[in-house]
Amino acid sequence: MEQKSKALAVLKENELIERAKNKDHAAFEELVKRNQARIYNLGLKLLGNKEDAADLLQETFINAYYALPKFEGKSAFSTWLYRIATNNAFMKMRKKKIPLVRFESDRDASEQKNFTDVPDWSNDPRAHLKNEELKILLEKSVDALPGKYKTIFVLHDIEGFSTEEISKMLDLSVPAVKSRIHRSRMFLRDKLSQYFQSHAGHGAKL
Amino acid sequence: MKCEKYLELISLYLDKELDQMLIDDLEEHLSLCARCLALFHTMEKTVSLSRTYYKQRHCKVPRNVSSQIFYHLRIIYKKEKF
Repeated sequence: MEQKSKALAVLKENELIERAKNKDHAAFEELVKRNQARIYNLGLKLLGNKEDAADLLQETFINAYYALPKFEGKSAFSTWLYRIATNNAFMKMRKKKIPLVRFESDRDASEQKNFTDVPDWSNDPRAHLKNEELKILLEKSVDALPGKYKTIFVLHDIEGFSTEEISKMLDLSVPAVKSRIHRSRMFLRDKLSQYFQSHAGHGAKL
Repeated sequence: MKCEKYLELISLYLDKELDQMLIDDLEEHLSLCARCLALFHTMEKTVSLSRTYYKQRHCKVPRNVSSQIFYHLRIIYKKEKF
Protein backbone atom coordinates (compact mmCIF):
# COMPACT_ATOMS: atom_id res chain seq x y z
CA MET A 1 0.00 0.00 0.00
CA GLU A 2 2.83 2.38 1.00
CA GLN A 3 4.63 1.64 -2.26
CA LYS A 4 1.45 2.09 -4.26
CA SER A 5 0.84 5.56 -2.79
CA LYS A 6 4.43 6.53 -3.57
CA ALA A 7 3.93 5.41 -7.15
CA LEU A 8 0.66 7.37 -7.40
CA ALA A 9 2.29 10.49 -6.01
CA VAL A 10 4.33 10.90 -9.19
CA LEU A 11 1.40 10.45 -11.58
CA LYS A 12 -0.08 13.40 -13.44
CA GLU A 13 -3.53 14.57 -12.43
CA ASN A 14 -5.27 13.40 -15.61
CA GLU A 15 -3.82 9.90 -15.17
CA LEU A 16 -5.11 9.81 -11.60
CA ILE A 17 -8.55 10.93 -12.76
CA GLU A 18 -8.69 8.17 -15.38
CA ARG A 19 -7.68 5.58 -12.80
CA ALA A 20 -10.12 6.93 -10.24
CA LYS A 21 -12.93 6.75 -12.82
CA ASN A 22 -12.07 3.06 -13.19
CA LYS A 23 -12.64 2.59 -9.45
CA ASP A 24 -8.98 2.79 -8.42
CA HIS A 25 -9.67 4.05 -4.89
CA ALA A 26 -6.04 4.82 -4.14
CA ALA A 27 -5.93 7.10 -7.18
CA PHE A 28 -9.00 9.00 -5.95
CA GLU A 29 -7.44 9.31 -2.51
CA GLU A 30 -4.30 10.77 -4.07
CA LEU A 31 -6.52 13.41 -5.73
CA VAL A 32 -8.01 14.16 -2.30
CA LYS A 33 -4.53 14.54 -0.80
CA ARG A 34 -3.44 16.93 -3.53
CA ASN A 35 -6.48 19.18 -3.33
CA GLN A 36 -7.69 19.03 0.25
CA ALA A 37 -5.71 22.02 1.57
CA ARG A 38 -7.16 24.36 -1.07
CA ILE A 39 -10.74 23.27 -0.39
CA TYR A 40 -10.28 23.39 3.40
CA ASN A 41 -8.87 26.93 3.21
CA LEU A 42 -11.66 27.97 0.86
CA GLY A 43 -14.13 26.70 3.48
CA LEU A 44 -12.39 28.68 6.23
CA LYS A 45 -12.67 31.87 4.19
CA LEU A 46 -16.26 31.36 3.09
CA LEU A 47 -17.73 29.93 6.28
CA GLY A 48 -15.43 31.47 8.88
CA ASN A 49 -14.89 28.52 11.22
CA LYS A 50 -13.00 25.21 11.34
CA GLU A 51 -16.03 22.96 11.95
CA ASP A 52 -17.92 24.14 8.88
CA ALA A 53 -14.71 24.10 6.81
CA ALA A 54 -14.13 20.47 7.85
CA ASP A 55 -17.72 19.53 6.94
CA LEU A 56 -17.44 21.33 3.62
CA LEU A 57 -14.22 19.50 2.83
CA GLN A 58 -15.71 16.10 3.57
CA GLU A 59 -18.95 16.76 1.67
CA THR A 60 -17.06 18.12 -1.33
CA PHE A 61 -14.90 15.02 -1.76
CA ILE A 62 -17.78 12.62 -1.16
CA ASN A 63 -19.86 14.49 -3.77
CA ALA A 64 -16.83 14.50 -6.07
CA TYR A 65 -16.43 10.73 -5.67
CA TYR A 66 -20.02 10.11 -6.77
CA ALA A 67 -19.89 12.74 -9.56
CA LEU A 68 -16.50 11.74 -10.98
CA PRO A 69 -17.93 9.52 -13.77
CA LYS A 70 -19.59 12.70 -15.12
CA PHE A 71 -16.36 14.75 -15.05
CA GLU A 72 -15.44 15.28 -18.70
CA GLY A 73 -12.28 17.30 -18.24
CA LYS A 74 -13.73 20.41 -19.93
CA SER A 75 -12.42 22.45 -17.00
CA ALA A 76 -9.46 21.82 -14.71
CA PHE A 77 -10.14 19.25 -11.99
CA SER A 78 -9.56 21.92 -9.31
CA THR A 79 -12.14 24.23 -10.97
CA TRP A 80 -14.62 21.36 -10.97
CA LEU A 81 -13.94 20.71 -7.28
CA TYR A 82 -14.38 24.41 -6.47
CA ARG A 83 -17.74 24.31 -8.22
CA ILE A 84 -18.88 21.47 -5.95
CA ALA A 85 -17.39 23.18 -2.89
CA THR A 86 -19.00 26.57 -3.56
CA ASN A 87 -22.41 24.94 -4.11
CA ASN A 88 -22.02 23.16 -0.78
CA ALA A 89 -20.94 26.43 0.84
CA PHE A 90 -24.07 28.21 -0.49
CA MET A 91 -26.25 25.45 0.99
CA LYS A 92 -24.58 25.89 4.37
CA MET A 93 -25.02 29.67 4.18
CA ARG A 94 -28.71 29.26 3.35
CA LYS A 95 -29.16 26.93 6.34
CA LYS A 96 -27.54 29.53 8.58
CA LYS A 97 -29.70 32.28 7.05
CA ILE A 98 -26.62 34.16 5.84
CA PRO A 99 -27.76 36.54 3.07
CA LEU A 100 -26.39 35.44 -0.30
CA VAL A 101 -26.95 38.59 -2.35
CA ARG A 102 -28.42 41.27 -0.08
CA PHE A 103 -26.09 43.98 1.23
CA GLU A 104 -26.56 45.54 4.64
CA SER A 105 -27.35 48.88 2.97
CA ASP A 106 -28.97 49.43 -0.40
CA ARG A 107 -26.85 49.84 -3.49
CA ASP A 108 -27.43 53.49 -4.28
CA ALA A 109 -26.84 54.72 -0.76
CA SER A 110 -23.67 52.66 -0.44
CA GLU A 111 -22.15 53.72 -3.76
CA GLN A 112 -23.05 57.35 -3.33
CA LYS A 113 -21.33 57.36 0.04
CA ASN A 114 -18.30 55.60 -1.39
CA PHE A 115 -18.04 58.17 -4.01
CA THR A 116 -18.55 61.44 -2.23
CA ASP A 117 -16.14 60.63 0.51
CA VAL A 118 -12.82 59.21 -0.63
CA PRO A 119 -9.79 59.87 1.54
CA ASP A 120 -6.57 58.39 0.15
CA TRP A 121 -5.26 56.24 2.99
CA SER A 122 -3.20 53.95 0.75
CA ASN A 123 0.09 55.36 2.08
CA ASP A 124 -1.02 55.61 5.70
CA PRO A 125 1.55 53.75 7.84
CA ARG A 126 -1.36 51.94 9.51
CA ALA A 127 -2.41 50.42 6.18
CA HIS A 128 -0.19 47.46 6.96
CA LEU A 129 -0.80 43.93 8.14
CA LYS A 130 1.30 44.50 11.26
CA ASN A 131 -1.69 46.57 12.35
CA GLU A 132 -3.77 44.02 14.30
CA GLU A 133 -6.86 46.24 14.31
CA LEU A 134 -6.78 46.42 10.55
CA LYS A 135 -6.47 42.63 10.21
CA ILE A 136 -9.53 42.10 12.42
CA LEU A 137 -11.47 44.73 10.47
CA LEU A 138 -10.46 43.21 7.14
CA GLU A 139 -11.66 39.76 8.16
CA LYS A 140 -14.91 41.12 9.63
CA SER A 141 -15.55 43.12 6.48
CA VAL A 142 -15.00 40.14 4.17
CA ASP A 143 -17.34 38.16 6.44
CA ALA A 144 -19.95 40.92 6.16
CA LEU A 145 -20.12 40.57 2.37
CA PRO A 146 -23.25 38.70 1.20
CA GLY A 147 -22.38 35.04 0.57
CA LYS A 148 -22.22 35.10 -3.23
CA TYR A 149 -20.22 38.34 -3.29
CA LYS A 150 -17.80 36.99 -0.71
CA THR A 151 -17.37 33.82 -2.76
CA ILE A 152 -16.66 35.74 -5.96
CA PHE A 153 -14.27 38.11 -4.20
CA VAL A 154 -12.38 35.19 -2.61
CA LEU A 155 -12.24 33.19 -5.85
CA HIS A 156 -11.01 36.15 -7.91
CA ASP A 157 -8.96 38.40 -5.66
CA ILE A 158 -7.59 35.81 -3.23
CA GLU A 159 -7.51 32.51 -5.12
CA GLY A 160 -6.70 34.07 -8.50
CA PHE A 161 -9.40 32.46 -10.68
CA SER A 162 -10.29 34.36 -13.85
CA THR A 163 -13.72 35.91 -14.37
CA GLU A 164 -14.41 33.29 -17.08
CA GLU A 165 -13.56 30.42 -14.72
CA ILE A 166 -15.78 31.89 -11.99
CA SER A 167 -18.59 32.41 -14.47
CA LYS A 168 -18.51 28.70 -15.32
CA MET A 169 -18.13 27.66 -11.68
CA LEU A 170 -21.14 29.66 -10.50
CA ASP A 171 -23.32 29.67 -13.65
CA LEU A 172 -23.20 33.46 -13.88
CA SER A 173 -22.45 35.68 -16.87
CA VAL A 174 -18.95 37.20 -17.08
CA PRO A 175 -20.34 40.78 -16.77
CA ALA A 176 -22.26 39.72 -13.63
CA VAL A 177 -19.05 38.29 -12.14
CA LYS A 178 -17.12 41.49 -12.95
CA SER A 179 -19.82 43.66 -11.48
CA ARG A 180 -19.87 41.62 -8.25
CA ILE A 181 -16.08 41.80 -7.95
CA HIS A 182 -16.29 45.56 -8.28
CA ARG A 183 -19.09 45.91 -5.74
CA SER A 184 -17.30 43.70 -3.23
CA ARG A 185 -14.15 45.78 -3.56
CA MET A 186 -16.13 49.01 -3.13
CA PHE A 187 -17.78 47.60 -0.02
CA LEU A 188 -14.47 46.49 1.52
CA ARG A 189 -12.71 49.70 0.56
CA ASP A 190 -15.51 51.67 2.18
CA LYS A 191 -15.16 49.69 5.43
CA LEU A 192 -11.40 50.33 5.52
CA SER A 193 -11.93 54.02 4.63
CA GLN A 194 -14.30 54.39 7.59
CA TYR A 195 -11.59 52.96 9.85
CA PHE A 196 -8.93 55.37 8.60
CA GLN A 197 -11.32 58.33 8.85
CA SER A 198 -12.45 57.48 12.36
CA HIS A 199 -8.83 56.98 13.45
CA ALA A 200 -7.51 60.08 11.66
CA GLY A 201 -4.73 61.69 13.67
CA HIS A 202 -4.51 58.82 16.19
CA GLY A 203 -1.03 57.95 14.96
CA ALA A 204 0.32 54.61 13.88
CA LYS A 205 -0.81 51.62 15.93
CA LEU A 206 1.64 49.04 14.74
CA MET B 1 -17.42 65.70 -14.22
CA LYS B 2 -19.11 62.35 -14.73
CA CYS B 3 -17.02 60.37 -12.25
CA GLU B 4 -19.66 57.66 -11.85
CA LYS B 5 -18.95 56.24 -15.27
CA TYR B 6 -15.33 55.61 -14.25
CA LEU B 7 -16.16 53.66 -11.07
CA GLU B 8 -16.44 50.18 -12.55
CA LEU B 9 -13.68 50.95 -15.05
CA ILE B 10 -11.28 51.38 -12.12
CA SER B 11 -11.90 47.79 -11.08
CA LEU B 12 -11.43 46.52 -14.63
CA TYR B 13 -8.27 48.63 -14.97
CA LEU B 14 -6.84 46.98 -11.86
CA ASP B 15 -7.48 43.59 -13.47
CA LYS B 16 -5.98 44.70 -16.81
CA GLU B 17 -9.30 43.94 -18.47
CA LEU B 18 -9.79 47.25 -20.29
CA ASP B 19 -9.06 47.86 -23.93
CA GLN B 20 -6.67 50.62 -24.88
CA MET B 21 -9.29 53.25 -25.71
CA LEU B 22 -10.85 52.98 -22.26
CA ILE B 23 -7.42 52.86 -20.60
CA ASP B 24 -6.52 56.18 -22.25
CA ASP B 25 -9.86 57.67 -21.26
CA LEU B 26 -9.55 56.50 -17.64
CA GLU B 27 -5.89 57.51 -17.27
CA GLU B 28 -6.70 60.98 -18.52
CA HIS B 29 -9.53 61.21 -16.01
CA LEU B 30 -7.31 59.96 -13.16
CA SER B 31 -4.74 62.63 -13.97
CA LEU B 32 -7.42 65.31 -13.52
CA CYS B 33 -9.60 63.93 -10.72
CA ALA B 34 -8.08 63.54 -7.25
CA ARG B 35 -11.17 61.74 -5.92
CA CYS B 36 -11.06 59.00 -8.53
CA LEU B 37 -7.29 58.71 -8.16
CA ALA B 38 -7.76 58.24 -4.38
CA LEU B 39 -10.43 55.65 -5.10
CA PHE B 40 -8.08 53.81 -7.46
CA HIS B 41 -5.21 53.79 -4.93
CA THR B 42 -7.36 52.71 -1.99
CA MET B 43 -9.12 50.01 -3.99
CA GLU B 44 -5.77 48.64 -5.14
CA LYS B 45 -4.55 48.69 -1.53
CA THR B 46 -7.73 46.96 -0.30
CA VAL B 47 -7.18 44.11 -2.76
CA SER B 48 -3.47 43.74 -1.98
CA LEU B 49 -4.06 43.78 1.80
CA SER B 50 -6.80 41.15 1.48
CA ARG B 51 -4.68 38.91 -0.73
CA THR B 52 -1.66 39.08 1.57
CA TYR B 53 -3.75 38.63 4.71
CA TYR B 54 -5.42 35.44 3.51
CA LYS B 55 -2.14 34.05 2.13
CA GLN B 56 -0.59 34.46 5.57
CA ARG B 57 -3.54 32.64 7.12
CA HIS B 58 -3.30 29.58 4.87
CA CYS B 59 -3.29 26.50 7.08
CA LYS B 60 -2.80 22.76 6.79
CA VAL B 61 -5.73 20.39 7.01
CA PRO B 62 -5.78 18.96 10.57
CA ARG B 63 -4.87 15.27 10.51
CA ASN B 64 -8.16 14.15 12.12
CA VAL B 65 -10.17 16.10 9.54
CA SER B 66 -8.28 14.48 6.69
CA SER B 67 -8.66 10.99 8.24
CA GLN B 68 -12.43 11.49 8.43
CA ILE B 69 -12.63 11.88 4.64
CA PHE B 70 -10.75 8.63 4.06
CA TYR B 71 -12.82 6.87 6.73
CA HIS B 72 -16.08 7.90 5.02
CA LEU B 73 -14.77 7.02 1.58
CA ARG B 74 -13.91 3.52 2.79
CA ILE B 75 -17.44 3.06 4.10
CA ILE B 76 -18.71 4.03 0.63
CA TYR B 77 -16.32 1.58 -1.09
CA LYS B 78 -17.61 -1.23 1.15
CA LYS B 79 -21.25 -0.36 0.41
CA GLU B 80 -20.49 -0.38 -3.31
CA LYS B 81 -19.07 -3.90 -3.08
CA PHE B 82 -22.37 -5.32 -1.90
